[in-house]
Amino acid sequence: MELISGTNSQIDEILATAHQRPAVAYDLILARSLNHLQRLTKSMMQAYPRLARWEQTDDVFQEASIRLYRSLKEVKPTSARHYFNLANLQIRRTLIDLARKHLGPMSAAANHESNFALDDAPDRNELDAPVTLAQWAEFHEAVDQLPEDLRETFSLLWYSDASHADAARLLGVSTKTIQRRYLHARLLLADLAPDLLKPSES
Amino acid sequence: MKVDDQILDLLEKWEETVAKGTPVDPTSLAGNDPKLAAKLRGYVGSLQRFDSLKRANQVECELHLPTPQELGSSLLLPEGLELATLQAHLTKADVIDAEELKQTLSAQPTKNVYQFCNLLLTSKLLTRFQLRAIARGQTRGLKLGRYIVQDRIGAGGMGQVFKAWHSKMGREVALKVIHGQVKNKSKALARFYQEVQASAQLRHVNIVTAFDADEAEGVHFLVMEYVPGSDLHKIVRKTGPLSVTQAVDYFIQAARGLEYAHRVGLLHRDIKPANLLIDEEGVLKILDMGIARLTSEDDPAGLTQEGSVMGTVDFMSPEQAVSSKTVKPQADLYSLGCSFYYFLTGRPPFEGEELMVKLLAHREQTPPSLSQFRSDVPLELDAIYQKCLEKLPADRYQSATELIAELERIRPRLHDKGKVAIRQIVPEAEAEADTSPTSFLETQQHVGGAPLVAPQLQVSPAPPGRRKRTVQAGGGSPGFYGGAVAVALLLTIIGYFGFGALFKVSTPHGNLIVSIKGDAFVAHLRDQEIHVVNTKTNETVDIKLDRTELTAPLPAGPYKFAIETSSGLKTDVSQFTITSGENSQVEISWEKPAAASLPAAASSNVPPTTDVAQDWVSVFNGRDMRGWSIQGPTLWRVASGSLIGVGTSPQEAGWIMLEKKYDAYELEFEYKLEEGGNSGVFLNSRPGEPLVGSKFLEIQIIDDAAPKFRNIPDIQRTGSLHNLAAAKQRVETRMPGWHKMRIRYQPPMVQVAIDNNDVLSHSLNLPHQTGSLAFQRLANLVEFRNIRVRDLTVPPTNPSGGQLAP
Repeated sequence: MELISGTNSQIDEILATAHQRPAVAYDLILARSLNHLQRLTKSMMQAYPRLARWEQTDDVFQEASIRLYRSLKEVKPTSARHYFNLANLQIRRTLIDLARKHLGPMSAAANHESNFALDDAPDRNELDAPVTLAQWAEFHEAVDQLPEDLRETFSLLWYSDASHADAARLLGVSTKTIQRRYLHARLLLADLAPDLLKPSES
Repeated sequence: MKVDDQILDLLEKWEETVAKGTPVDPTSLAGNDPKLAAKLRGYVGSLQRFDSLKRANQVECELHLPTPQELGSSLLLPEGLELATLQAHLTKADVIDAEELKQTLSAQPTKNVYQFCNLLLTSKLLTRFQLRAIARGQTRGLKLGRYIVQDRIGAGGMGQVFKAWHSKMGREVALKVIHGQVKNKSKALARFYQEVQASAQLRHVNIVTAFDADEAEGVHFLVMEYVPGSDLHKIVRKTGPLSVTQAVDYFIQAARGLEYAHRVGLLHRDIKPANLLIDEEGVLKILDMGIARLTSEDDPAGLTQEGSVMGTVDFMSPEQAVSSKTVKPQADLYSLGCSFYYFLTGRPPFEGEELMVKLLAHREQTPPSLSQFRSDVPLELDAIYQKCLEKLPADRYQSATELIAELERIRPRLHDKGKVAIRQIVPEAEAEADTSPTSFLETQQHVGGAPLVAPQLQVSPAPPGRRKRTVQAGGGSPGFYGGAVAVALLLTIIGYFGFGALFKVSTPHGNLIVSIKGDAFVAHLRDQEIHVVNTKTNETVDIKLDRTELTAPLPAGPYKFAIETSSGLKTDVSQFTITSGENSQVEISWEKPAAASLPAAASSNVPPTTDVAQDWVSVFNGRDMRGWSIQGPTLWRVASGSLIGVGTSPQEAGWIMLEKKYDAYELEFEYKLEEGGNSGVFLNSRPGEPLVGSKFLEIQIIDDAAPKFRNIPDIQRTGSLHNLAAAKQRVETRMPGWHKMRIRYQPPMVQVAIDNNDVLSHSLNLPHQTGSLAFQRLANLVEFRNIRVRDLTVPPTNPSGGQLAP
């Protein structure tokens, strides 16, 4: 039976495995990446419940997943950290593609169906205002503009769902450093994607 | 691009305070600076927005991830392949029946090229090899006459080897496609067809059968028996040197194949581990009999064959290096002896980077001693191997029959002592032997019959070979040390010990003649072991019952049989005495054991066998997996009476399930776990569930002493009902050898005993789905044997209560 200890995270397992059996570790990272792509895509579709019910959406998503998988399989990573970085980059690009090229155009038809969509959305200045696909695309594109250390940290926490402790272990720094970098990254993103992240002055 | 450090410090403080549950107005952190306060308020708003995004609910919708099969098949396709393009290539290849494809597609429509490819693979319309080729437009060569090429399974000196399907006969074959340059040499080709005709006459269990030779589209190819398995070169490389008993078994099987071929006048001339295939039943089959080397006037030794780097000389006899055409059967025996050395050490007897160095070593150097590197190789066996490697053919065994007789004589006395015993440890990374395979090899993981022993074995390097000099009686010639003095010394030694002493170990043995009565052999006794104990020395000897009449040499002394009454084995005498040079006889029979309580029950809280239950039924016949069904990758095999699972990674986890279902049962078996191993017994497995078995009740079997498992909780240790109830004591699974486990599953109760110790008695709180009992394969090697079950749901009405049909 696969062992799951209450105190160890999967990233610990990945790091431990990476030394002896890197291929296994990289497969674990890849599997996680696909799962996170699924989770983040579903979050992006929150404003488009009609879109969520279309079989076409599923097909689009599956093809995107396969492209992500193939792109990562081609990589010859040098370490688990390196592979996480690549995986997070590919997740981000896939999400941008989904938002702008694939699901975006489909969402226009979804809007027309008059569902819980942007027309009926609460004031976008409120903290829980739904996010359009275009705004999500802008968000992911903004992450690309962060300085490398901040982007790496933010990506681990956001796209790979790592805890601060996990990220600290992976990057070889203290959790304090992770916290500060994560904070710094978010503040910069607020400047880079103000439409999404800066509430208007009331 | 940067945020001011002061702001970072203040917001860090704000986050920490808020995280502790204390709300903080960010303005209060700014002191009296309104501008700073405004900035902080703005940033706090952004951070809060981030939180809401992170917490964003996911829609309830069907967003499926591709299956592992779909992901795997996608890798076969080139970038940007369009569905229409693939369909066009598929039509051109003409390897699929159009009607069958149409029916498959109508049953499962596909929308993109990935789904289409996955369907072609899962419905077995194409193999991965075919799909990869067709996806790239490489359709030529996928059909050779009536043969549809399915997979590439090897490459060797003469050409590539493929698995193929005869479209009319409906059978699998192996095709060896001859190199282009070879086919252009008409004399060589003519000789080749001549030899193929000869080898096609061979019919022997230890020889791969050749069916035909043909030509299609300008391609010459051989058609041979397809044997799923792996060759001994790969097996030993992957799993390490073999145990002595297994190596000798393969030695004998190969010798039998050679015996047959030599009798009809055919030589192999390229015996080497890569040409010795082991099938799924553990049967050795010699590949390329008679066709291994194409020779010519320019290359009488066949060393410069197209496609091979200066030929294969690691296992070549000295006389063959001069001319392959004039060699006799002893050359094959020499090569087999070298191969035997490889089985036991993982390297050929003579190593060197240059071809000439190796050839000279075969000619001049004394073969390294096996016993020197393997303390478990008896001197008698070493002597047999040494005789195979005599420089002069006349000094070797004159026939395979002689060799077999010697091996069979000592075989009953051989037994493995846990890990392979080595004398010296040195770093690895020795020069690799040229054991390039020349025939039908599975490129997938080994599923053949070799038992996996000593996985981390390291063997000391061969000592520098001594140049062997001929000693002439009468003195005057240089001996081992040079000079007449050395000769005199040698003759003195010979005179003291007797001439045979230097070359053969003799002991004062007598013989135990074992004969098996009645029809019991095939049904119940084949390959079972009987144990005899020398009552004076307390040494135990195991005798394998592999035939109805056998002779087992034993040291002189008094003996008794040590037989479990539950085994059904019966002897006409319980004790006997072996006298040196004389024979003692014993008859063995089999009787259905009485349904008495098992020895373990006497000291166990597992209820005795007097309650309502069937008799014990053996559910594993020790020879094949009949009655069992594999779930997940087929990394199971049967060898030496054991069911063996090889764990590689959680992604390749799986289990083997007993097809007959029991709702309540008692299960008893023996298991042996490799270091670092992780396995278990599923009590209620069901096909289609996750392959790691997370949905099943499981009794854990794990190497508790392994460093990686040091910190696991008790509910995951050996004997536990995994993640539900911990075993009440630690079990030393690391102790070498076999352990016995008994599991009683009578919902809601689950009870476990290991090596006659009760370790678990648990009452399940909730009902669980029914299913089949199964063994898990997760990490490293695990072996199971002597597996039997008692049905606890039915009253004892079955009069036969017999074993699984062989």
